[in-house]
Amino acid sequence: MTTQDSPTARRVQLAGMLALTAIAVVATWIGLGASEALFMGAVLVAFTVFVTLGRRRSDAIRAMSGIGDERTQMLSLRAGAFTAYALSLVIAGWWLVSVAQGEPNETISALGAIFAVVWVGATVFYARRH
Amino acid sequence: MRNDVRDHRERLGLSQGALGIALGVSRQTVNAIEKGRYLPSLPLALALARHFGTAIEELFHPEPGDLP
Repeated sequence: MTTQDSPTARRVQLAGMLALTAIAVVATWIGLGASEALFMGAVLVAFTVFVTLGRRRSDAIRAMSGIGDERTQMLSLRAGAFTAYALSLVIAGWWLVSVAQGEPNETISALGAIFAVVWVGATVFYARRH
Repeated sequence: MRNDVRDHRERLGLSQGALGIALGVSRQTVNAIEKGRYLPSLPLALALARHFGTAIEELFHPEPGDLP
């Protein structure tokens, strides 16, 4: 049984989100310039604040954070699985369209291959573990 | 699966929030269990039964099709 979220987990998550924000801002600054980087930083900081403060008030936002009791984690897992399933359909559909047009998209082909390998690996891993 | 969590909770005079704190889960999770929207894990079901001083079988009542 997983109990309520711990302050440590919340702090680690907040630090991770801020670190990702900093990395995204630096990458955007290098590639696109200062104004785009500041916009990117503002959006990511707003999302971080939204999750950090909103998780106390909303079940859905708590599930977005993935930190909480067993039901919160179940909701987060299901939402993640549904998102991955939807993304797999988009990648497969996009790849098929690009093949039918005679110009297979290399990025989509690579994403499809990575998705398939990770899915098979994860299935084997969890089947052996549980 | 039906359950008597609400009856047991109210008999002890506990709010959903208080029961949640005692069990280490959120008020929303207690609410979802009571309404049958969420089936708790076996450890949480055991913790609920122990908290109420009863057996799991007295707390949760499977309906046809619930059991394998």
